Amino acid sequence: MTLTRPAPVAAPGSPSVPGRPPRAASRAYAELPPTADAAARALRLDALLGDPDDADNPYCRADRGALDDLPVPDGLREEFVPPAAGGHFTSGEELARALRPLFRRDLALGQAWGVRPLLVADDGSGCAPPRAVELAALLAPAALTAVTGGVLREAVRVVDARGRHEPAVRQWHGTLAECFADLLACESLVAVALRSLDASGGTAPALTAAVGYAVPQLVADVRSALDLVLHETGCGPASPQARALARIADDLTPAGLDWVAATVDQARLVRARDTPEDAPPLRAGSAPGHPLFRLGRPLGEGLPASGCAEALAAALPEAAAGIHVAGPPAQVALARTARRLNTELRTLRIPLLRAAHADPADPAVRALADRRALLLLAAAVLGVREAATAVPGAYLGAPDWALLALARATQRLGVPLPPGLTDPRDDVWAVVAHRVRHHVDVDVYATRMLW
Amino acid sequence: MNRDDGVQTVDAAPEFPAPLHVAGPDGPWEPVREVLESGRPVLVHTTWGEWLTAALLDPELRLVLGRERQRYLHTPTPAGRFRFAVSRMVMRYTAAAVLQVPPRSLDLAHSPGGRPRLRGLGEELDVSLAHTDDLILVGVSATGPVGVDVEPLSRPVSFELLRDHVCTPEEGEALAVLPEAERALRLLNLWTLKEAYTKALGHGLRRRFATIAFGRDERGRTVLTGDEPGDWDFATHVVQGRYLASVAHHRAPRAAGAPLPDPGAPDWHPAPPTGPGNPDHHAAPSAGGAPGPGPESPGAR
Repeated sequence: MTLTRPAPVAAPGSPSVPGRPPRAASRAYAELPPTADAAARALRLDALLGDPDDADNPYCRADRGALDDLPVPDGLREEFVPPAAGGHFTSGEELARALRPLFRRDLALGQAWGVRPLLVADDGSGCAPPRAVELAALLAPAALTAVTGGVLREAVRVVDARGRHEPAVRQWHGTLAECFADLLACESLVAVALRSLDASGGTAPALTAAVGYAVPQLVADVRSALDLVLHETGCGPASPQARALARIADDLTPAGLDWVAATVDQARLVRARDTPEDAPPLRAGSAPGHPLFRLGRPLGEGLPASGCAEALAAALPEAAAGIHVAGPPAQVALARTARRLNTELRTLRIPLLRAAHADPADPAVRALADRRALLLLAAAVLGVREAATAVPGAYLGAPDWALLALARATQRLGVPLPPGLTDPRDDVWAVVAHRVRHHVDVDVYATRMLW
Repeated sequence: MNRDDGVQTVDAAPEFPAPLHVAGPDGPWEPVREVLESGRPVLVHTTWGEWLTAALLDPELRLVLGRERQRYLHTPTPAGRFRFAVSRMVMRYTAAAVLQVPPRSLDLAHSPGGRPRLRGLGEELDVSLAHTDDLILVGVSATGPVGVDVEPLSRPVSFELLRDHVCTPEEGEALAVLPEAERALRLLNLWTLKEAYTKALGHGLRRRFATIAFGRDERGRTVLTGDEPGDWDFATHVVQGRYLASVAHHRAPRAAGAPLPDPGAPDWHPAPPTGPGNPDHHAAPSAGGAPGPGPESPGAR
């Protein structure tokens, strides 16, 4: 393995302290930066994993049978160990960010080194972070969105390059923008669920179940769309891009991300106690800027788990209330779509109460779980988008991606879209194309990549 | 129902049974279920006229249409509305028959790409729908994605106009030397095969047909050629003597933990539509005794 690109250094003019980049470097690392330490560790891991385009790099496209023979990068094990035991683990969200370079590479590798250690540690044979099993259940979907994002970046690169000379290829801009919005929606849900693990007094079971149920399905839609775009732009089944896509499909079952695994979370979705009815009464202004949604920021001490349920339950009605606020077209459209989904949320309450004790195998109950998951996804999208408006320059605070993600959730629910919505796909495409050109990941944090 | 009711197999893998004719909501559905239980996809064909009376008299039509009712109401012509309603009924009743649940307990959804789905059932049961003129064709599979397409045999097709859109260069050259009548039939066959395939993929007409190559294997069966993936079965039948129907099926192992209902379990047949004079129309229980969507539930809209 050769490193064809040097590891990044601190921003010019900044004091350089080995292992501890200055804050400026952390900001350059992502629009929603982690701590400087976490950014440095992630970059180091990315460097240790090597150039993904290097055909001789053993960490890329590794033979499934040879995974156990690959050396684990130095420092990776410490990511799972709490600081008191000499490690770096501070939160599930930060762990997911630290492992993202690994997750981007390969789903099987991410499962082997990023998820399985938690399950082993939870058996008592290792030093486990709190709630290791729940954490593992959320990291697997995080790995799925990360590796799928890699194929999205490849497809964007192909379409962006060819589209400059072939106008017909530009027809796929909208499709790739939709993929980007779907992945951002999935990552919003995963990130919020990871943050909810840090709330005191237990997790929000419906939220974590929604991740396990909805994310693999949305990603399946994304994979199907990517397959179409790749095929139509000359990247046939033998191309590296199409093979990477096929590899994800092959790895789903070993990673516990197939439909069988999703049905377990589907049953949990209906029975989970943190229904909107279980949440405390809605307080005006409880959702916008709620700590649960402030991605990249510490959750804060003592936030009760009920606060998570309350914040999620409030996200849709709060966003719907924005319909009375003047703003740019995409923001108004977002509020109108949120109002549609809020109506859907209201219609779900009584059936959900009834279904809590019903046979989870009943198709009507299973359909209910599907709808609940999509509404939780929409709530997470609206929550993180609203909270990110407080971060200057953060794309996550823009309304266009959220509008596109919500429009697709609305379509999946079978709810008619409000008439006359502005189409945000051109704007979303412009952002995803810009990111790919500048080595920025397609994640919620807008993380700069090494390779 | 009659397996041989106007069905002539043009080309089919042995795994494919002939399409089954179901004349109305009361089936019989046993053969449909038997095909699914044997691990094969099942095709059901009918005409909307055969189901129309049942649809119009069905007090639960509103529930059966579910969230598609608005689309039904906005379909401009009466014939279009009837065809729309019946096609959804056939799809829902067929899926309900193989799952042995009431049709109203199923929520018919669509992916953002337009592919029909049974909400909440994921990969356990895949459905596909095609209709043309008065024919409705439904494909249901518990063993991987399925796509169906149907066209009237009498549909005029211009080889000159469609060649570059439908055929690969090799397919075009092979068709060009055929007599006109045979060429038109082969072209129609290619069209239905390719549309069935792209529907099974969830891509529909967004995928260029001219990049999909079909050929024959050593046993003379239709197969994908070139670098398209394997594990696909294809079949083409003439249905009701007037329509060319094709089906594409991607073989996949049945999702573990998601078995079809136990054949030994108490049977349930979709209830025939009933009018006010029949007091039994509420008799069909919800599966597992669970409450189905009530009138106030979204599924009832």
